[in-house]
Amino acid sequence: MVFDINHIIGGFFNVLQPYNMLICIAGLFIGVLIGALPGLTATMGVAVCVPFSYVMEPEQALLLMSAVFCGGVYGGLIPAILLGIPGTPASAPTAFEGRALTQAGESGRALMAGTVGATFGGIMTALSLLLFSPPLAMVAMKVGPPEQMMLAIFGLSVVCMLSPDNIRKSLLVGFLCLLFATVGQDPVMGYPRFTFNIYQLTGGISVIPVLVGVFSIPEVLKMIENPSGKLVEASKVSKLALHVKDITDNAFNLFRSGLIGVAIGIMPAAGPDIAAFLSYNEAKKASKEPEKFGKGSYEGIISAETAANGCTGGDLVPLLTLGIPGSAPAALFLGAMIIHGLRPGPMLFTENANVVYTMMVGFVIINILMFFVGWLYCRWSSNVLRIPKTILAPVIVVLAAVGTFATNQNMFDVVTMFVAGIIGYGMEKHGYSVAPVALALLLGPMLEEALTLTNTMYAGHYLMMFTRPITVILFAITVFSFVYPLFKIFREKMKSNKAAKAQS
Amino acid sequence: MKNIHINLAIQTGVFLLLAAFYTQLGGMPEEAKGYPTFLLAACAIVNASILFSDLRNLRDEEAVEKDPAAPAMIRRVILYIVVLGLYIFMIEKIGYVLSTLLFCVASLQIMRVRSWKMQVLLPLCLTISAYVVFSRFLMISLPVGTWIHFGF
Repeated sequence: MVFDINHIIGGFFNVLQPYNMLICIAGLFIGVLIGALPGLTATMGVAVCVPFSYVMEPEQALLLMSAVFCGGVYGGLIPAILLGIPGTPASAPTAFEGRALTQAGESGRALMAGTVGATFGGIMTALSLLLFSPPLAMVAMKVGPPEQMMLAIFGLSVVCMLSPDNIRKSLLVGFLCLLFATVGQDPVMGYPRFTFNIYQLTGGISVIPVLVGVFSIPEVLKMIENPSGKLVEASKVSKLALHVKDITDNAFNLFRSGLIGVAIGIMPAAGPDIAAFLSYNEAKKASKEPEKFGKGSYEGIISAETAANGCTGGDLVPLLTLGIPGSAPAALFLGAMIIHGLRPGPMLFTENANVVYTMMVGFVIINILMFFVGWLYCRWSSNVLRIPKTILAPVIVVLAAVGTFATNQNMFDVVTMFVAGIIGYGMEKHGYSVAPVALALLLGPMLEEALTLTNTMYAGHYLMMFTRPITVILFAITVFSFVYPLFKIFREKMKSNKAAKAQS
Repeated sequence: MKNIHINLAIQTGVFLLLAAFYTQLGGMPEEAKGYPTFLLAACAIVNASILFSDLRNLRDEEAVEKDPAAPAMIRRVILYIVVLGLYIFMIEKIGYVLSTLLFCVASLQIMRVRSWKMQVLLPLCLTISAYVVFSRFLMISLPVGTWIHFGF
C-alpha cells in the first residue's frame, strides 16, 4: 500500500468531472432525506443504492454510495433539532439538546452548529481515510473482544452522566434496557432467552423501532395534550446563522469529537451511534457549562454530530486496506465492490488505484458538499415549525410507523415501536430519562458478546487482558472519565469554600 | 392521587417484570444465564433503593392540586393512544392505504379540525406521498391487507 500523490491528484480530477459531481450531489440529497426520515438509516440508504450501482462505472457507484452514506448519517440531525425526534440512532444526543434550543427560538443556530460539526467530522474522517489508512488499519487489527468490552463499559458510564439529577432512575432504565438487550438468542450457544414463547422475539428486540417509538410517540402525545397552535411561535423560527464565537469556542471540541469519531469508526461493530454518545459525554465532562447539557447546549450538538460523521471514513478503513468489513455499511460497500470486480485489501491500492483514490478523494469532496446540501435542507425544513400541530401529529405517526416497518418489513417492529412509545411517554411524565434507553440497547449486545469472548480467550482470567496496550488505554480513559467529574466537583467546592472564607 | 403513589405502582410493576424474567431463567444453560442474572440482580437492587426512598417520602408529599383541564387532556391522550393502536393493528388487516387514510381522519377529528378541505387533503397527500417515497423510491412492499386487499 503506497501513499501516492499522483493518484490523489488523479482522483481529484476524476471526482470533479461534471457527471461524478452530479452523482455526489444527488447522493447527498437522497442520503439526507433518508437519514431525516425516522426509522430509516444510512445503512438502508446505502443498501437502496446497491441495485442502481450495477449499471454505473465502479467509481461512480462508490461515489454514489459514499454520498448516500455521509448524507444519511448527517440527515438525522434535522428532525432531532426541529422535532426532538432523531432521524437515526446517532442523532439521539442531538435531540436532547436540539428540542430545547428550538423551543428557545434558536433552531437556525442549532441546525447550523450541527451542520458545521458534521462537515468538520466528515472532512476529518475523509482525510484520515485518504492519508492515514495504513496505520489506522494496523490499529484496527489490534482491536479485539477485550477492547470492545472496555469500549462498551466506557460507553455505559455515560448513563450516569446523561441525567445526573436522578442517577438511580437512570441506572434503573439503563439496567432494564441492558436486560431487554439480552432478549433473543445468547451469543455463545444460540439458546433462546426471555422470548416468552413469542417467536418474533427469537431474533431479539430491534433497536431502531424502540428508538423511533421512545422519541417520536411522546412528542406526538405532547402535541395531543395541547393541539392548538404550532410547535413554536412564528416569531421563534430563527434564521440559519452561526456566530464565529460558536466555532472558535468549540475548536477543541470539534477536534476531540472528530478524533473520537475516527477512532470509533475503525473499531469493528462500533459505529456513529456509539461515537455520538461517547463524544457527547466527553464534551459534557470537559465543558465549562455542563449544567446546560440537556437544556440546550451547542457544545452537545457539535460534539455528537462531529463524532457521528467522523465515523464514516473510519468505517471504511478496515474494508479498503484489509478487505474486512467492520460494519453493515462497509459490508454493503464490499458487496458493491465485488460486483464491480474490485477486490478490497492491500492489492486494491495497486490494482485499482484509480477507483479507490477517486472514492477516497470523493469522500473529502462529498463532505465539503454536505455543508451546502445540508444548509439547503435546513433552510427548507425549518418551515416544519410553522406547520400546525394538528397536521404534524399524524404526519409524524405515519412516517414513524412506515419507517419502522421499512427497516425489516416486519409488523412486529411497528408494534414494538408503539409499545416503546407509550412506555417512553410514561417515563417522561414520571421523571425517567429516555436517554439511557438508546445507549443500553446499542451497547448491550456488544458488551455481552465481547465479555463472553474475552472470558473464552483468557479462560476467565480477566486480568490477562491488561497485557493488550489498547485495552490498557481504554481502561485508563474509562477510569479517568469516572474520576475527572468527581475531581471537578471537589475543585469547585474548594473554590467556593475559599471564596466564602475570603468574604467572611 | 399523589405522585408518589404512581411511583410506587411503577416500582411494583418493575418488580413484577423482573419476576417474569426470573421465571424464564429456569432450564437455561449456565453460559446463557450468567450475564442476564447479574442484570436482573442489578435491576432489583436499584429498583428496591428507589422504592425505599419513595416509601420514606410517602408521608411528606402533599397532594398535587388538580388542573381543571387535565381530565379532558387525559381523555384525549388515551383516545389517541387507542386510535394509534387500532391503526397499527389495521395496517396488516386492511392494508397501508386504507388504514392510513382512516387514521388521518380520526386524528384530525380528535384534534377537532373541522375544515373539510383539511379532512380530505391531509389524508390523501400524506398517504400518497409516503407511499411514493417508501414503495416506489425505496422499493418497500407496504402491507396490502389480509382482510381486504387494497394496495397498488
